[in-house]
Amino acid sequence: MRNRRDRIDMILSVLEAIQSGGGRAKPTHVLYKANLSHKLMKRYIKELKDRGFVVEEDDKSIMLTDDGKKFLSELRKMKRFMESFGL
Amino acid sequence: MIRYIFSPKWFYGVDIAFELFSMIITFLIARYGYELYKISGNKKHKYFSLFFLLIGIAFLFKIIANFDIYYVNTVSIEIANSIFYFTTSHVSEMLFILGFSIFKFLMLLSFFGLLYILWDEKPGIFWLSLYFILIITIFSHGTYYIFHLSMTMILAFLLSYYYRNYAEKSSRESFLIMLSFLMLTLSQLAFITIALDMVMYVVGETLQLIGYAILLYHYILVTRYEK
Repeated sequence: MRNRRDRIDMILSVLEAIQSGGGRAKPTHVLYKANLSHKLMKRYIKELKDRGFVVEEDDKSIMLTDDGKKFLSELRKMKRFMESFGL
Repeated sequence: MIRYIFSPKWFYGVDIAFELFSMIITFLIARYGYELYKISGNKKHKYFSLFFLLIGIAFLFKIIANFDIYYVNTVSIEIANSIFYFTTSHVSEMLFILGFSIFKFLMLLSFFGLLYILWDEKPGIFWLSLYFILIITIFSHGTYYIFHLSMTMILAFLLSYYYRNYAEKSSRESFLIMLSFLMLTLSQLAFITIALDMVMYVVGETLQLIGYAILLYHYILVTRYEK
């Protein structure tokens, strides 16, 4: 069975950490909730920002966009698919 | 060349429709697996997608070979509840040999490949297994049950994996995957006995169809509805 966290798991944990704060979260909250290293979190946040799934606000908090919400929903489906196939 | 047809005459074409349906489902799963790979970058997801694509291609070859047997370039006769057919052209004979050989090879390769990526086996095992898959493909030509027996073995291992996966996850989705592989395993068991009674071909094809229909239901459940 699958034990290691892969990219989908990590991106999902970042997006879920933001969503758990009502769609907006401070980087420290994301870091704590997503259980990632600072380096990895920065990398994923940058990638999500580049793809328009999150935006950084003036007070440095990160906000989930509408596309980000849709992407989060897709990732959840993918995770269920992966888990049921034991991938 | 004279060959024996395992399907009852009334089932001609129905099996082709069943396999067409199964082929579309495997292509759908392959496409979704590839979407998964594009995001995850995980090679396991790439191979998962590839093996489902190959299962679909395998079905395509079987459909072409069966279509040729049932409707083109062949003459069939019924003797004592058994159907024999004669190929009337070299093309038809080639289609039969190539179609079924590629079908068997791709099926064995794909299901073994799935088992291989799920069990994280060592690289050398794959090449050794590829050798056995080739041997089975070539030498099961006259003894069809060798192919179905090998498929049963591979599917039984996959079923055991999915049983453990279900025991661990206890989700409806993992149950559906386990159930689907149970049906596919049972279908191969039915195919082993087709020489005893032609109805076993119908049973095998139906169980196989149910297996792929469950995969479709799982696909719709997972990709269309938010939990």
